[in-house]
Amino acid sequence: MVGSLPLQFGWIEYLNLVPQAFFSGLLMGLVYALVAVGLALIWGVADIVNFAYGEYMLIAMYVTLIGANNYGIDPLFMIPVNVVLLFVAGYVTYKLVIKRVMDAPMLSQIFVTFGILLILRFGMLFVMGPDTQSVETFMFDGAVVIAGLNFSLPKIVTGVVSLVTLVVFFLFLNRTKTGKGIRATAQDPEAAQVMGIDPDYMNGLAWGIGSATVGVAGTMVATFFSMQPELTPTTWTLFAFASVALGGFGNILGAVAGGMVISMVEHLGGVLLNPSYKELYIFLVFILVLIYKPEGILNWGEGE
Amino acid sequence: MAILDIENLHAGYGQHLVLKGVDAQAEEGDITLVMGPNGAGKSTLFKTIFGLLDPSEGSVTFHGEDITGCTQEELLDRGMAYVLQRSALFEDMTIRENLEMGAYVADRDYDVDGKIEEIYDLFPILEERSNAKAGTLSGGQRQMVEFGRGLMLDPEFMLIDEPTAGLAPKIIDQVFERVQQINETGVTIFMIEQNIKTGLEYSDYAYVLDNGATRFHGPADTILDNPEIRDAYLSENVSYEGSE
Repeated sequence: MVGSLPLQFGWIEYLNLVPQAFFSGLLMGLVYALVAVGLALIWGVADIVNFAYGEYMLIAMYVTLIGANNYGIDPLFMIPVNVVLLFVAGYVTYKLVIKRVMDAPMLSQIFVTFGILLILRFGMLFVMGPDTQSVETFMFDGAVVIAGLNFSLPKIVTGVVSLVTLVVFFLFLNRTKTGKGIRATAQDPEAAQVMGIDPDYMNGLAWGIGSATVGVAGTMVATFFSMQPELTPTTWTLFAFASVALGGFGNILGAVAGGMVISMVEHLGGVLLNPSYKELYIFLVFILVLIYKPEGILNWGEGE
Repeated sequence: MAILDIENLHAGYGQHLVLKGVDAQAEEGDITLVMGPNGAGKSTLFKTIFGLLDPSEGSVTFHGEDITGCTQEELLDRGMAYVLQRSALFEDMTIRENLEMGAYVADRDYDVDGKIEEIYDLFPILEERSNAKAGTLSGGQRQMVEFGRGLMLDPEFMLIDEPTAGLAPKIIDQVFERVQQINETGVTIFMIEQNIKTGLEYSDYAYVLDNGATRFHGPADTILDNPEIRDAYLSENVSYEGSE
């Protein structure tokens, strides 16, 4: 079957490339999952779609870039800074803007987050300029060879940090009282309110925590992805949307699976088919899921 | 003495006024039934009492204090609880987690586990299925979790909105028995019910709402003596009960 595809390499190279792509896909899948859970949390709790999600991530990327290139602060130390910054950004966005359209028609909500997208995107274009830029230093640089496979060290560190963040995120949601309050609000806002859980506070927290996840993700991917105010956020918002749709809209566990699948499709498709069309494969899967299984590939009972 | 006193209550959604002057009282220790046709404003009344809707006019007093404008947390602290009509469990949480959520606003030193044990004594089937997800329960079990969740903070007054809605006719009596059981532990009950005949058997006093206002009220065992009520509501509800 593969023989009929436009092969770029001989069979021997494939034998090496497939496991390579598999493990790279796994590592990147963790960061895709992290980006997706934040969007799913905002979607699931506040029941609103944040189209400016990629812009929030880009804020973290630029803050990391400025810290590293202008002040010599290692990106790893920018994680707490970006977590706090993005949490505040998300929380304030909810309190100042989103709260006013919570009961508004969906179209108004879409326009509001699209408006935020425009302001952030062109604000960053104005401040940072249209050129593509990259972080110049990171304490984990270079590559390592594990079992004959080549891994970029920044990607390994990103995978580990993403995994740890995901674990903390799920422990928070499943083990803490506030986390359970957030889940309760996501499942039934009125019932949660009757328990004395303030839905307004929980919505604000969901926006804060959902944005803080891209604070971590943005910091980490800035160490190996270059950034540009128009392309970068578009790409990441679309990845996040595809992952969340795959996992079932608003379903947080599903978003993890969605992120993993998206990353695998991207990496394996890039190796087995043609790397230039990597994003095409993602959207092909995305569209197929929307057509044939719009409730998501996983139905964990919570999704709507 | 009346534990809850509603006077000339007006409330609604936006410009649309649903309650247009409701007067009602709940006597301490009683089961008070609120009945009336669909759209009479029964659920709106309960939502307004529990602060989910703001009244535009009138007042609600609890133990003689005005509670309009109170948050749900303040109302729970004052000893009120509210069991919603529709099945409103947290579906992907276990029975135990659902009960825990009932004590969400409790102080840090509140004995949540002890309270859950009490609920399990009241409804033993819940203990057996303690770790089952709420989404997997039968209608009757769900109703027990709803009651249990409402009892977590030891309320002295409970709003119960149509506890038998959507349940099979054969378990309707069990639900009312549970309501009575809760009432016997000293909880005053203010309850909406469409199964009027059975509901009245278990109640002390009844109010009939119509078009957003109190139309009749009287002791539960005499309210059906009024031919107007019997004709207007009961005949309509006999077939309704069967179809539920």
